[in-house]
Amino acid sequence: MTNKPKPEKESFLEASFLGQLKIFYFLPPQEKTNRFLPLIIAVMAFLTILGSAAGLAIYNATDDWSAELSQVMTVQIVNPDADERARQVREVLNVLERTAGVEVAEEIPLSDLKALLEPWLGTGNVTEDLPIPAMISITIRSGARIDTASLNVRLQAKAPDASLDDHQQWIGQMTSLSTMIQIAVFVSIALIILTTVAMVMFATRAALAAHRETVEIVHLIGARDALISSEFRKLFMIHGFKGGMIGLAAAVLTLVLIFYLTESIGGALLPRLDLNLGQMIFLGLIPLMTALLSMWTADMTVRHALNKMV
Amino acid sequence: MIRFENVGMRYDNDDEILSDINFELEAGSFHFLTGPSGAGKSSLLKLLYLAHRPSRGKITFFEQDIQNASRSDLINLRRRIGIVFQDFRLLRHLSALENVALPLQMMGGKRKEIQNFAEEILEWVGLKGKTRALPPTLSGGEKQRVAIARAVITKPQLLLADEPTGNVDPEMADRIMKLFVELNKMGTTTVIATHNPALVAKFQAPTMTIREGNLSYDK
Repeated sequence: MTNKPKPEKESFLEASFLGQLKIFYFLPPQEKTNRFLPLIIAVMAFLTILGSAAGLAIYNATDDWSAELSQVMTVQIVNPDADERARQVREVLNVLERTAGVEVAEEIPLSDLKALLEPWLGTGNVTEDLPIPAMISITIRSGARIDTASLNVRLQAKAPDASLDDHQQWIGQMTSLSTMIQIAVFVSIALIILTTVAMVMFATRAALAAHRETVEIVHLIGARDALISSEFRKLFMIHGFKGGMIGLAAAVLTLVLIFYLTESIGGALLPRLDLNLGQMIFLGLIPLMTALLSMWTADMTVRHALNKMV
Repeated sequence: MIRFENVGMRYDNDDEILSDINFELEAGSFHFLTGPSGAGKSSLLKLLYLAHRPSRGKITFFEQDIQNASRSDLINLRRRIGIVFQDFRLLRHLSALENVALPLQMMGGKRKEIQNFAEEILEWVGLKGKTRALPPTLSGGEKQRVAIARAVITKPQLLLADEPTGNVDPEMADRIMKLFVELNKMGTTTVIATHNPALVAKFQAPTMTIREGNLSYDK
């Protein structure tokens, strides 16, 4: 069996109005030195997008919780005697009605309290004899500030078993936890970026070594460094963009899956994966960032290598 | 135009390959560079096409001291030099036309003009029908002529050719040498490195001979 010679194909540019002369380039069009690089960049982009999405979702959730809780306070009255508890509830509501800045103050119905306990104790296990404290929910008027220490003193003067909870301790702990998680995510992303830079650098060096003779020829016939590095810039920009797009596609699929899973197992217990439009655009731009990062790294590496030539 | 004064050259910390080289190439001159293999011809050519700086001494190119020239200055100087490498050094994936056009494309210019000029030069070296051929499909003599066309397309002030007739039959060698003589008549300073005494005898010109790193000059 003999191999038939392949017909000579015209490239797009050859066939175009430009005639036979293509745009300036000197690297082979099917440069294969780094064909796995886009896959590695894809993994890095995937991790960056997931990390960023997690960080942003935690930030959004903490922000929402803090905003909600800073407008709400709770008074808890713990007394086993139901009549005394009811008396203290009335006293507390009276004090709150006269307190500037309080928009709404109302007792949380016992049925609601039992409903809140059911997920923890099990349906039907919240019996009538279970001592449940009375709870009063306070909504603060928007923009109003209330001196919680003095309000607590006034409440306890009328209702000795009452205690005011402004949720500040919980908000503080949540904010600290969220900040720590965000720092961890940020450090992880920084490490992923550094790893990507290092990989592109090694890949550029490999490409330079593979095309050493070509680079030497064009250098000797008068090519400027910028022109030589532009060939590698183009090549690695394409690798970076391809990798970024593959990573983005995989990350979007994963995030959609996580979103539906969190929704189905209980949105109340897990933070929702809510991202606003700006944040989604930011994540969508990651392929562009990987393209620019790869391009910049390749450019620096090639210029550094060329500087060693006479 | 080009002056070497007490030039020495070594690679890294090895012994000197070239010692106390002194010569001057006047504009429009034609010279042969001869010498046995390993005598230092290639190293001298490297200095001439600015691939290496001298270890000592002074080289002046077009009134510019090479030792103190910046990389950017050297690139500008290289653009005034045409080189025909012994092994052609054509880019395998570019057509003959694209190889020839490469130096002009680097300098910029209108694509159509570059293409027309490259076609003209290829016609001049007798390769009119080979513009789209890739180097691996060309014969040794054809590759040589593409390399010559690439070296002269920028109308260089200095043309360096390393064993330009080494890979071709005598008839083709004669034809190539006549191209160089023609270019020289147009004002290009030409240096042909060869160890073919018949060639030197036939095209009489001043000869620089390198032996064991030392240059002698025979007018």
